[in-house]
Parts: sequence; C-alpha cells; structure tokens
Amino acid sequence: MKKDYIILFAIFIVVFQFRLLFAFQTPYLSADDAYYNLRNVENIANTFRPIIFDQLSYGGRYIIDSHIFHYFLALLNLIFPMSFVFKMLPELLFSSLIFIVYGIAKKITDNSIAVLFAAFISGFIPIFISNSLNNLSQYALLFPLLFYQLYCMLNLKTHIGRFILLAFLLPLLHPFSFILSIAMIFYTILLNLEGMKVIKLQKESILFYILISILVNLILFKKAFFSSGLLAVWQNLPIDLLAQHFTNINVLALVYNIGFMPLILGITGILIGLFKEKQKPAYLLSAMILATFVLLFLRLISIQLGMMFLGLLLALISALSIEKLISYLNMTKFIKYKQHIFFLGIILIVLTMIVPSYFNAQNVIDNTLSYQEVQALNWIKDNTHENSTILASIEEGSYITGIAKRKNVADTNFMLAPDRYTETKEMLITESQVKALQLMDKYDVDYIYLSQRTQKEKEIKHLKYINKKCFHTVFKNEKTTIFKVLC
Amino acid sequence: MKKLQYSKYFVSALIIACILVLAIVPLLRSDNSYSGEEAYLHLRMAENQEGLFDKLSYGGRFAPYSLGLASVLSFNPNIFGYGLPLILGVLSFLLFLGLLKEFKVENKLASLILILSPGFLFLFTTLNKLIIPVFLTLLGFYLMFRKSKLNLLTIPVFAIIPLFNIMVSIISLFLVFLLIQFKLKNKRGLFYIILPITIIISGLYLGYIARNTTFERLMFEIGKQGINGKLQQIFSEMGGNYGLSIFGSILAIFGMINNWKNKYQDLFVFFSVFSLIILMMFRIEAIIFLNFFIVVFAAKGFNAFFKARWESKNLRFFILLTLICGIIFASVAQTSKIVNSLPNEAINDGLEYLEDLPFGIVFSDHSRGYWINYAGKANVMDDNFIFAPNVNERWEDSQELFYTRDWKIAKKIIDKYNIKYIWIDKDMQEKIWDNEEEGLLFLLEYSTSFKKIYDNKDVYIDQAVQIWEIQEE
Repeated sequence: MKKDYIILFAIFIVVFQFRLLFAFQTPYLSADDAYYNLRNVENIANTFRPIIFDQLSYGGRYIIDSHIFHYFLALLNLIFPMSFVFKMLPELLFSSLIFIVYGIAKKITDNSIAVLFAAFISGFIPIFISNSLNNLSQYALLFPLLFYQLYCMLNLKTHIGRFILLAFLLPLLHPFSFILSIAMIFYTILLNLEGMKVIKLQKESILFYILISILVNLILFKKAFFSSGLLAVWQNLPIDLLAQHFTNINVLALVYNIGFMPLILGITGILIGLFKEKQKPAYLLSAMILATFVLLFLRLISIQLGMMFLGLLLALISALSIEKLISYLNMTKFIKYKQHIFFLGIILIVLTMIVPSYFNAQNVIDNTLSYQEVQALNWIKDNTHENSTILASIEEGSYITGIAKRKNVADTNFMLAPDRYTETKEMLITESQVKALQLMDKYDVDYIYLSQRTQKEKEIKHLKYINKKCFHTVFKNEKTTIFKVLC
Repeated sequence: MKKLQYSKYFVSALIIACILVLAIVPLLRSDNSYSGEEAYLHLRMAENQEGLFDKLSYGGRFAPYSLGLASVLSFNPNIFGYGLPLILGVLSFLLFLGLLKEFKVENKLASLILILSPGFLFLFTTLNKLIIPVFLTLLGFYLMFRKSKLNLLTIPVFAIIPLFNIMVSIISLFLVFLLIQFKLKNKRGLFYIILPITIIISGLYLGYIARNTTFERLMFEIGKQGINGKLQQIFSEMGGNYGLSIFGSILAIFGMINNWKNKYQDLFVFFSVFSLIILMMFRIEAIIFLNFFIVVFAAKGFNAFFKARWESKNLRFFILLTLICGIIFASVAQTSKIVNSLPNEAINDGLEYLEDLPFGIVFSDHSRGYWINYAGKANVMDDNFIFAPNVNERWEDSQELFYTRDWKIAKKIIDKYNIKYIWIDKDMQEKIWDNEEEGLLFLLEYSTSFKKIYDNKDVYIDQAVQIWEIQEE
C-alpha cells in the first residue's frame, strides 16, 4: 500500500512538473477569461468586494457570479506570492485530480497496477492539457471538487459531512456542477432498470444534491431566469458561437484529444462494469458520461469542456478494463511476457497521450498572449482616456478590460450581456466603411485593437475599410496595430 | 382540548400572517403607486362615466372589458383600489381554510404554503381582473358544501362570474361539474340550475360585445412564445406573475406520489388536478386554481418527508431546510418583483406632467397605453388587443413609426392617428431600440417637427421619461 502511495505521489510530481514546465515558459496567462478572473481577484484584494457592476465589460453591465473562486484566490494571495496563486495553484489543483481519480478507481478495483495506470493516464489527457494549462480558470477548483464529490458519493457512510459541505459549495462555484444532479438521476434510472437497489443513504444524498443545486442556481441566476426563463441555462450564448462550438468535430480529432488509451480502455471498462460486473461505481461513472452527452447534445456546454470531462471519466473507468486485462493475461501463456507487455503499455501511453499532450501544451504556450500584445495593451492603458472604448475581437475582450483597463465592446462573459456578437464580428470583417463607422458610432468606439491572433482567426489580412481620413494608426508592432477612430 | 386550543391559535396566527403579508407587500413600493399596468385600466374604468364606450383606448372604442371589477371599484376607487385585493385575499384565504375542512385535509401547513405561494401573492397584492372571480369561485364552492338553504346562494355566485371573467367562469363550472360528479352527488340539481343560468348570462354578455365590436384575429405575437414562454408563465421563478413555485411543485409531486395509492378515494381531486395541469398550458387562469391544489399536495409532501424514516438525520435536516428556503425564496422573489415593477417614480412624474397637458393622442409602446389613458390622454394602442379597432393595422403602423428614419413615413402615420404627443421612457427604449439614434429616436433628435416638452433625466438618471410634442407645420 505504502509503495502505491509513493508511486502515486511520483505520478503527481511528474504531471505537476510537466504542467509547470510549460506554464512558466510565459509570464502571461493563456485564456482570456483568466484575465476576467484576475481582475476580479485584484478588485477583491483592493476593496474586499467583488465586481457586481462591471464598468468596463460591454461598456458597463451587471455580472452574475458567485465570486467564490475569486475570494478563494484573493485569500490565498494574502498569504502566498502572486506567481504561486495565479500560476502554480491552478496547475497544482488540476494535477491533484490524480489523487481523486486514484481514490475513485480504488472503489472500482483493488488491483494496484490498474488503479495507478488509470491515475497516470488521467494526468495526460491531451484535451484536458490544452484547456487547463496555464489557465486561471474556475475549473481548476471545480474539477477536483466535483470528482471529490463523486468520491464522497461512493463513500457516503464515512464522507457524508463532506458530501453535504460540497453540495453547498459546488453549485455556488459554477453552474456546471449541475451535471452531477443529472448524472445522479441517470444513475437512479440505470440501477432501477437493472433491478438493483439504490441504498437509502444514497437516495437521500441524491435528493439533497438535486434540491440544493436547483435552489442555489435559482438564487444566483434569479435575474437571468426572470428575464430569459429556461433559456438562461444556455448562458445567453450567441447562436453563431454555439454552432461554431460544434463544427469541425471528427472522430480522429476525438481520438487524438481524448487519447487512444482512455477511449478504448474506458469504453471497454464501461461495458464490463455495466454488463458483466454490474458494479455500482461503474453505473455512477456511466451516468456521468451519459449526463455529459446530454449536456453536449443540448449544447449546454462547449465541446472542449465536454471532452475534458469525458476524458477524465474514461481514464477513470479504464481501471476496470486494465484489471480484467491483467487477470486475463495471468491465465494465459502471455504471462511470461509480462514485462514486455508492461513496457508496450508504457510506450503506447507515451505515444498516444504524452506526445499529444506535449504538442497541445506547446500549442497553448505558443498561442498565449505575447509580449508584443501586452505591450500594445499597456500602450492603451497609458495613452488613452480612461473612458475610451476599445474594439477588439470578442475573444480578446477580457484582455482589454483586464490588462488595458478600458471599456470593451464585448467579451465572452455573455450572461445578462447585450447581444453584440454578430456586430462586433461585423466591425472587424466588413468591407464597408459606412457600416463599420455606423456600428462604431453605435458603440462609441474610440480605438481599434487589431492583433495577429484576430487576423488569423477571422481570416483577414487587414481591416479593409481603414483609410487615413477616418482612422489613424497610433501604435504598431509585429503583432498588433491600434487605430484611433477619427470620424 | 389543549391541542384544539393550540390549533385555534395557530389558525388565528395564520390569518394575521395572511393579512400582514397581503397588506405589507403593496406598501413596500416606494411611491405608493399601483404595480403593473392593468390596475390603471380598472381604476380609470371605475371613474369612467360613459358606460361601455372608452374614448381614450385606441383613440376611442367600445369597451368589451370585464367591467365587474370596475363597477365594484366605482364605489370608491381610491380606497377600494388598495383595499379590495386585501379584503378579497383574506376572505379567499378563509374560504380556502373552510374548504380544506370540508375536504378533511390537514390545513395548517397547506395554508401557510398558500400565503407564501407566489401566485396567491401576486393575485391579491395587485389590482387585477382575477381577484373577484377567483374569490367568487371559492365562495361558490364553499356554499356548495353547506347543508342549509345557504347553498342556493351558489346559483347567483356562479351566475355572475362571467361578468368578471369568462374563462374563470368556464373553469369553475368544469370544477363544479367534477365536484357533483365525484363528491357531492346529491347536489346535482344545483348544478343543473347553475349551468343554464351561467350559459345564458355569458351568452348575453358575449352577444352584446359581439354586436358592438368586430373581431380581428391578431397577426402579431406578444410576449414570449414556445415551450420556454409557457414555462415562464407556469413558474414564478422564471417570471410568471401567477406562476407556481418550483419548490412548491416539487413538494407537491412528492405529495402526489405519496398519496398515489389513495387516488381513487378522491376522484374530484384526481380529475381536477389532471385537467388543470393540461389547461394551464393554454390559460393562466388554470394555474391560479391549480395553485390551490398544489399547496395542499405540497403540504402532504412536506409531511411525508418530515415523518419518513431517514438514514441520515443531517440529510433530513438539510433537505427540509432546502425545501423551506425554496418556498420562501419564491415568495421573496415575487415580492421583490411586485415592489420593483413599473411604473417607477420617473414614470409617475411623467404621467403627472402628461395629465396637465391639453388633450391629445399619445403614441408609445402598447404596454404604456393604460398609463397614458389614466393620465387622461388617448393612446394609439394598449394591451387590450381583443375587439380593438384595426388592431393589426395599428400594430404595423406602430412598428413602422418606431423604426423609420424617414420623416415622410413618420408624418403620414402621425397624421393618420392624429398623434399629438410621443411618450418614451428608459425601459421602453431598451425594449424597442438598440441605440439612441435608431428609427424614431433619430427623428426626435434631429427633426424640427418634434419638441421635447418634458425630460426628467436630471432627476432620474437611469429611468428618465421624455415627452415630445408634434409641432404644427
């Protein structure tokens, strides 16, 4: 047992090191919402109050957020240095998932090798790496807690207190935690279909979790539910963006992003768990996978988030198929080649998981905000009037508010925000100067921030309507150009 | 004996709680104005001396409104405007208690949930057309259970409901039918008297309206449509005024499941709930009646939870706490909605100014129509679309005027309806236009044919009201 813990800790160190190795290659954070979180933490650190009315986002709008994550970070920031809180802590939290995966996998099988194997592959899911690396995201806290809640659910007799505490905390942290409610409903249905009994304590816990999730979400998103009804669960995401989330999905990309090993072993694990072993933990994990599919089908979560979650669940349940594989090998003459097979497994992991994770991680770092972009954003901060409005692509909106500290036209925090997705895009891709100026007039745009990132993403070489009469280039470097709107 | 006395005190406490809740909620509004738009129609009609002709709505029309409420209010609109919902709310609550006794249902918790139910709160804290017919229905049901000759009073009670609201009358007749079919079989005779009388009165009333008006099928859609729109109507937490509370409904579902084995013992309840659930998809009136059943089942659900054997006492405590919080949250959210609903102080000030202006037709969004009328001015459109003259044409013209930047088109519409003033408030502006220079706003800003005669943006920064006057050319 002790040996297991040492190996587990070693796996954790490897995963954590892998993440840190990339995260510290850049002084900046990788996703735009990281800067939204950063700004909120800064505000709490300075005023002890969260941003309720955001003066900068969309030129001024109300924010719906419980700010639990921001308070958590702000509190830690009082004790630890910034680089730890904003850079190391998210990596530490994401890496800590390995321990929870180990704990849950231990409920599925007692085979140490299988459990450690599952824990190891859960640390190198390529899509998980690309969406969580160097990202100050609420998911850093949510994912470990969500999986820990799953662990508590499987150990209710000893963990009931923690289950209750997390049931309060999770819905407060992020609406995605509602996935557990849906999974619990599926779990009950699946067990009933199989004629298995849900134990009383589990029934009570399920009921409690569902009720508290509904209540907390109703309270937190009261305004959104009042104005949009059930549509509020889509968080006001623009239809175009929703559609964009689900385009370009192909099987090869899925295999690459989730990883060949968890995909094959995970699916086999589900089949064994459901139809052969009839294990309750396997039913719970299958219910989680079903819930993820439902949310993806209803387009309630992005494909990236869904795949991240799916990857972890498949890695977890793969412990079962590894155990079966090992016990099957033990019965055959192949056992002579145990060492060889083990190394083959390691090679497969390296090739299908660690190598793609490495490339994904490198890709994340390459696409992180560059020095030149930050230089341009700092120029805006130092050289423009504090009431200026800056037009940038919607994906860069939080850079404008977070780094340049100026008003943006739109950003990716869509809840309760006015619908500006199409028009923001239009201002960047239109060929008509009249149209662009009309929209800029509508949103009081003073400056345009055009980065290479936007040019690549929107497939534009330059803004076609720019001329000297109405636009003046006030800043330019290799990666960004800033125009002042004169007309 | 002690238990009986305790029970008596509890019921008295409930009645006091009901009075307090219904009295306090309207008083929480900062400017003592009535919540919403509808109240202003009833108050005006109560003061209207011209019978069934409304000279202000749609520039003048036959008034096919449910005039029962206006007639009652006309005795003293100022006092009754505030007092009537409270009095009828408390009386309805007492009748509900009485009915629970007749149905032999444990009444305390159900009554408490009723007071906290958002639908009941909205119904009896705002001045709306449903307060009297809902009260009359409860009264009629209560009288049906009387063994003395008092139950003959049921006939006039149900007979006058159509004068207040036809739909409530139909639903209540259907419920009476279920009642005599499954519970009060010996009262069938009473129903056979009520039914023709109600049909005759409804027929006469509708016939009179039909004779004086023309019916136009609406070619436009108002409010939220589709499944989401229905859900928003059904649940108060999603924005429904008369909606059910989500947690009340969850508890009621548990209550129903718990009582499922007894379903054949009370077929009246079984069929009523079943029919009302289907009906509520189409009519909000059904939600109000369903609410009375829901609170009873919610109480049963709560009791079932309370008495059940739990594996974990902690979970039992937290589940019950969550359910209680859910029910309280629904009523608090509803209260906050009523308290913060329009008209706000800026609109009231604007209406006061409008009232002092010389008579004329005011153009605005249809949702402002009742307020404009209340200020003594005629509107182009209001929310009373049914039987309104040329309603589709007026809608199209209104939309065109809102969004045109062409003065010629605007002028044509202004002349067509003889518009003298234009009313614009912040809330309406956000609802209709995307920016401050869109359509009519552009014309108002740059055309010399409009003169801004009122703007209170210096006093109310975020809620400003503007009144524009059309200049004679």
